[in-house]
Amino acid sequence: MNGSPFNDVARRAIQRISLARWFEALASSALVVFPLLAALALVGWLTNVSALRIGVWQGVAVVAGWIVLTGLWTRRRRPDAVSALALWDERTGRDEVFTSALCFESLPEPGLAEQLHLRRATQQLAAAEPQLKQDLPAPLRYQAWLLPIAVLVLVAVIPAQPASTGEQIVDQAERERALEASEELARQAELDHIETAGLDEEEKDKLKELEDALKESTERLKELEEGESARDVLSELEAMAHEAEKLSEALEGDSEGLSSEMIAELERHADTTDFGSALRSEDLGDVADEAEAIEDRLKDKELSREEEERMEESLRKAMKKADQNDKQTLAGKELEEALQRLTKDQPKQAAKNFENIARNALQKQQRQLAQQQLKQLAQQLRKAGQQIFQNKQGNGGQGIQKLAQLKAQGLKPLQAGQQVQIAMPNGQRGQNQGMPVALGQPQPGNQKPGAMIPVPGQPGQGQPQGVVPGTGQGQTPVPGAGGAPVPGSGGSPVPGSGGAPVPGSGGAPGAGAGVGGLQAGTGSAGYGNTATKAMEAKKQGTVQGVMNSDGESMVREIDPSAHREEAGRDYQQRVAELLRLEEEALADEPLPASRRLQVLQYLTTLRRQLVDQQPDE
Amino acid sequence: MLTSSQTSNSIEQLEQRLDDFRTRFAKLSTEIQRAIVGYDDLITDVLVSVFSQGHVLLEGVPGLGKTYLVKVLSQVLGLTSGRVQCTPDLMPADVLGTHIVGDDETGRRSFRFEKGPVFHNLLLVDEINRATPKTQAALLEVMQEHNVTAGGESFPLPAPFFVLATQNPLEMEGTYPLPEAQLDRFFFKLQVPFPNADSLVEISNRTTRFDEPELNVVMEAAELTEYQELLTHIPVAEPIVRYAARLILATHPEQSGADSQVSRCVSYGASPRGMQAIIRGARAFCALASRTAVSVEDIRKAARPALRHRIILNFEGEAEQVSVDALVNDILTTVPTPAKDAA
Repeated sequence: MNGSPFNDVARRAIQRISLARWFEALASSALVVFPLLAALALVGWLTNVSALRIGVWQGVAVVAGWIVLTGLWTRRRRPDAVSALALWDERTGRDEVFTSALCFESLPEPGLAEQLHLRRATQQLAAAEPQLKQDLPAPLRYQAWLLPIAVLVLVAVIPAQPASTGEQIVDQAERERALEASEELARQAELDHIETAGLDEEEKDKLKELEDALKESTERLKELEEGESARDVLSELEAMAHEAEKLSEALEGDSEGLSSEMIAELERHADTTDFGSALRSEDLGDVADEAEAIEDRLKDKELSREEEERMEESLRKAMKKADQNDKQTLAGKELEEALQRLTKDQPKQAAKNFENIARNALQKQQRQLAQQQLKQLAQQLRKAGQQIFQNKQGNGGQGIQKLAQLKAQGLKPLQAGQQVQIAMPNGQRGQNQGMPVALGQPQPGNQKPGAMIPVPGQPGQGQPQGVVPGTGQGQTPVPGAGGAPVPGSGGSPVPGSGGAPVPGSGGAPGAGAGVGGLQAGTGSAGYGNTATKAMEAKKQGTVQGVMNSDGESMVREIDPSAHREEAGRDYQQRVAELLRLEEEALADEPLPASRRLQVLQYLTTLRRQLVDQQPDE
Repeated sequence: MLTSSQTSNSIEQLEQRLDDFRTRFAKLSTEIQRAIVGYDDLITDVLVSVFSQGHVLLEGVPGLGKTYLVKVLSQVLGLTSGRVQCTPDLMPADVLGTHIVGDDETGRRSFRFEKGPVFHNLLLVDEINRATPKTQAALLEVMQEHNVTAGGESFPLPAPFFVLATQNPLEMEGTYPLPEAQLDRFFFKLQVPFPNADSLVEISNRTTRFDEPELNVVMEAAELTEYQELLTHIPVAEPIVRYAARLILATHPEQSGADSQVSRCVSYGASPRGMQAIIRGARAFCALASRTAVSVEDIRKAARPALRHRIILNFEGEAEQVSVDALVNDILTTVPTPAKDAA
């Protein structure tokens, strides 16, 4: 017998069986792998977690890996020739004819009986071999191809759709703008331009950290991936801006200005006139220059006794005008010490005091400069966010502004110039009394008109500007400026406050009735003797107004019937709380001391008038 | 060394002889069925056992024709037959023979060995479990060695030699269960089933007449011996032998991977003699099926009668009356065939 036909057919049988096993493995594993993959892709899309996001290429890689792994596993478990032929024999009811023939074929000297068997088996093989594929089918079940295709389609489609959470995805145009913005920010990221001479080591370290973080964010902006969410990018930029602002605030030192009386006294004397003027102008550079000038004069060998005594006299009189606060300031202490030294006839030592004053003024100046530069940096970062997402709705273009606004709408700090509306109970209880006061926000309808209390100071400058809604006036009252409208009182100024509006003093609709209608009391009632039927309250409720950093709390009800509401706290408590908040916010405002004092006095007056005053019935 | 043509002729002769065997076997079976109604499978199994040179243990309730079957068998095979009716007082000498005092040709008195009923081609041992263990043990050498040793002298038994024993499964009183060693010497243990209604009717028609059917001798002893030798040439492929070996191992509770039922109820499994019985019986079944190599199906067919009496139940198995046939069926179901590795 030539060749080994049964060996050959056994190999083919092995291939067929392995193929069938592989297809079976593909089908059964597809039921596990691809639902899992689809679930991961959906979770990644819904949660927007980049680690779980699966793109088309990842999907293709998974499919390819799945095919290869199942193939390898099948190959490892492929049957041997005997098993393969035995299976074929079993499937066809041949009673191991070919299996035995395969064994006899390999015998070195098969006996007569083996040869007889081989002869018969070979005759059968000729007819059976063409039927091999039919006898050993390798069906590819639909799960093996349908599931991978479906999942690939799914992962291909998913990135094209926005995430279900409403997150907005960065598109190509935004990527380009981000690249531009990153180039600009890269220049800004080099914070060498920020003046660090006046910073201590800790502040320099913080600046370094900010610089590193900025560089990292800049790099990230350059590599902004399509499919990233706008919120992530905006948040990062806002975080950088916030850090810059924090550092800027940390650089703000206490304003240790001398009292105007002391400064006036210094100005009165020729030797210290320029110095006093510099102090009054609060120009730290001038202060340093003038202090250095005095220092030079005192160090001068040709300083006459008369000059020395004149200087001493100037300082003595100035120190007489100094109050306790003045003596606590660095300038006050140095001047006092200089005076003592001059008294002891030690002009050169006194010069050192003026040197200290000059150095301190310079340092402050540098810190102020750094502070301004950091603020500018923060603004630029926010601006970059706006530039990148200029077309985005909602959280997009205004996103970073809104983020800043959300912070600003916290209790502190209030922005100068922001309008504050206080509800005025005009003797009509039950009409939405006790509604929480909105800070710069319009109040819901039916709110009684109230007065607009401006926050002293211009935005960034200290001078308030703005419109009092509802009154048509184009200017808010300025503490100390006079002429402010007073709702209900015809505009009489509040003593000490320069004309701040006094809400609720006359019962008439106050200025600023921008919410709840411009004018009240415009309804008409018919004439007649029939008494108006009193409304019976169908419902009673207590509204507790709460104000926190998230904004005001609101209660909104739709009720067809009339109902009575009573405030959980009275008007005075509400106003007192408002004033307290304003005072606390004032502490963080970058106002000069004199201005802060002025505003505090104004608020104190308000408190006296509003809190202590009995509400109109 | 044969030439190819000689080989080819030899192969054809072999093939012819196998065809003759099937023909003769069928004729034997037909002849026996003239006297025995039904029991087609039983007759086949008995003949397979005969052609495989094995002894048979027939178990069935009284009156089923077990003894008559053996008698018919001896008639159609042209074999001499002896019969031993086992009783509790049966002695070994009653089976094997004994020395008796007799006159020789010169008239002198001498001892001579009077051969017992065992010295026939076919020995029917009726109700073997009634004989005492001593007498049962006398058959051990007979069945294995095919000779009798008495008085230091060895007396060969005629060839072919078969023992066909019967036993009644019902009675427990006055019976002595065969020891495992003796059970192991039986090739097959065959259950004689109770005939169905049609068979009973036919039995009545045939056996209630005055005369019994005359049976022809279909095969002589020499021819039987030739066919026995022929069957030993039928090849068994190595995977098939391995399958038979796995079956034997599966009957042992101490083997790893043994069936839980086997582990729980079996005290001792089949011996290598069981493996021999399976292979030899499978060859006969293979030849009867016109195949030229033993298949898994042949092994399974031979396994049931070959293992039935070789699996010894433990106390738990006997207490629960576990059926050995059911155990064997479980083993045949669970042990993987050569095709199972590829499935």
